[in-house]
Amino acid sequence: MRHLARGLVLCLVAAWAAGVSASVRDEAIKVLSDAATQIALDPADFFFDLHLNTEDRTPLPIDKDWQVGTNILPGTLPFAELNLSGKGKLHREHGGWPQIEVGAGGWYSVAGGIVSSQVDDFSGNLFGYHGGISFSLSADPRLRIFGGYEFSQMRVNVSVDFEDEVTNSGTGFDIQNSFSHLNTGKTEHFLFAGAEVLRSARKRLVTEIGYGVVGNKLVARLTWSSKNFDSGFAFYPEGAWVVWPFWTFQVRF
Amino acid sequence: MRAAAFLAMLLVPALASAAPSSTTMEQAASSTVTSPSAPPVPPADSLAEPEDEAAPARALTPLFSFHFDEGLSLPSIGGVFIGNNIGSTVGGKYAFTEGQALFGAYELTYAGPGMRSAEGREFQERSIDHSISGGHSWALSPAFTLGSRVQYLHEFRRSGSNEAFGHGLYDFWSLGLTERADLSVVPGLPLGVFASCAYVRFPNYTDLMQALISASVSAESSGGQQDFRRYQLGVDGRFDGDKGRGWLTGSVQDFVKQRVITGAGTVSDQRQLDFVTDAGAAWKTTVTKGESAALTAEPLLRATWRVSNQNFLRFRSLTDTSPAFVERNYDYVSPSLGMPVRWTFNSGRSLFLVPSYALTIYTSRPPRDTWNNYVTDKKQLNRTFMVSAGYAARLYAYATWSFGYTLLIQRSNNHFESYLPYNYSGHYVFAAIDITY
Repeated sequence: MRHLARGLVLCLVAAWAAGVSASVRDEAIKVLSDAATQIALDPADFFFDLHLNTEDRTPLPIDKDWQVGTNILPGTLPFAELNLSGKGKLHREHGGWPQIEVGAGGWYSVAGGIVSSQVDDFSGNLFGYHGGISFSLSADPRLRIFGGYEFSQMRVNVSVDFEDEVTNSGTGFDIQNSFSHLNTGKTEHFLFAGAEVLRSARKRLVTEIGYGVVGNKLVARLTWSSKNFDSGFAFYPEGAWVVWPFWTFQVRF
Repeated sequence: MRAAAFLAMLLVPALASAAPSSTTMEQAASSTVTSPSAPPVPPADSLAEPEDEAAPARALTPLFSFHFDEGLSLPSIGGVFIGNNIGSTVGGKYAFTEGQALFGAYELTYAGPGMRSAEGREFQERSIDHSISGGHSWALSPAFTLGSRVQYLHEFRRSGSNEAFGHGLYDFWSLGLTERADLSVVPGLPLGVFASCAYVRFPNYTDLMQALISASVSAESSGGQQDFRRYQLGVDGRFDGDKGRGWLTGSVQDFVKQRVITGAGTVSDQRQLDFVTDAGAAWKTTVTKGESAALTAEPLLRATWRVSNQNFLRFRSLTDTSPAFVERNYDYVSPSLGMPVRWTFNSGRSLFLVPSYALTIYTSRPPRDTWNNYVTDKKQLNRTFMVSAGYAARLYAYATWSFGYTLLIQRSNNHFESYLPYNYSGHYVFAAIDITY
């Protein structure tokens, strides 16, 4: 009887999905189209979101002094952003004073370098780096509040030379003759704040919100942190793509 | 509960006070109706970890809250869209003597695209609010506490036309001071009396209509028309062991430069003055309580009454030489009723149902037909019905998540909707996460 009911529900769901699939497909195309338009209008902002994905502002655990890590997804994969970041503790929380730590990191696009070496008329140089200071204070044995400042810099320098190969038709928008260089970048000064909730001795949930004072840039992150692998979601409310899932590898000692 | 009360003390009165007013735009109700984008979340007292009573009292008490929700809106007009809201508050309270404390907080709020029940707001509108407040409280006796608070609020608003943050026509900042006295003269009936003043400035606002009326007016003189000083008096109280609450506030918005428009299409010498009265009461009651769950309800009744001496000229186009004149265009009464119901289980999970109904009755403004003609024998009436239903559960200590569905039905006898929607319905599904300490 239970299997029959489950089958009936599945049939109803399938019928409903078939009925709405066309409109869902249309809406999905619209969402992707809007994202593509926004990227074309402000490519720097999109690259900056990719850059921010590599940054980790979670505080060091109370019993750890150093951390080295890399963003696996969506950094190294699929964008070939080789990235490394680290942080170190300057002051352990005690005597009413918060934990103080500094961190820094950077990334370089291997894809841009490989294509540049293989294609004569193309050169691409994409990189970014960041650094900051963070303060963490225990509000409860299971909750710490943290906040701090971070400097963040991203550069994209792409050059394409079509001059010898294509003749401008003179009609319409000819991207090959209109586009030769893309030199863009962003510098931000972030103020951020968040909370760390202990799930177990080695597992944490970390939430944070950051605000870039230069360009009113907003970023929020939810991080489920474990011993070596952190995962979660990064949100860029005004970005071309709002929600980015991420997966990182960290060594803390 | 402690954090919720602290947040309310710090932020709610000042945020309400700084909301932009309606003057040259027909957005009279924008400051009073909430968006369905903000999903209901369980009360902190029902889900938070019990406090350790053995813990010693600390001089410094930190405060933190984080909220994120993301949802899909399906309005009856326009396409499907995704919106999200983010907010976080960081602050603390420092008790430096037995009865005196200093407190301060910073709140950052982002409101993304969403269906608006407020008149004059676009679905794609977004805003970022920065709020900084600080103050001092002094318990002179067990029955009498004095409090002072200074608050600065800066809002960046981005309309559907997609201008960059910082360039919005209705960007504003406000700086205000609130003095408050809490009295416990009658046992079981604590009362609070407060007075506040604030200066609200709209740095990017330019009165296009004034420029239209008088072509010689400079951009400088047509700017600042939305700036106002705000004075507020209020009283609030609790009853039935903090289960019930009520409030009555009266405020005056004294516009610095905005003058009253006359029927002749000229600007008079009289400055615009708006009076807003807000009164309401709510009472939380346990409907039934079993061994593993309890059903609670919190009926809420509220009314807002706005009186303004400002009139309105309706131009059909830039070349319209005979605009329609509407006297006391912004006067309205807005009663509303809410009945949040929550089924809370001992495990911390809960089911909620939050229906609400609101009317906005314009006392002078006639509605318009589809062709922008005033229907002079009627008065504009907006009706909003909203119901949210969902599930909330504790994720970890201090962290909860929820998901739900909201139905919004907006109806009006105003049928001129070329620029802003008045008659529509919409569905909204959302998921949210909250951390509160």
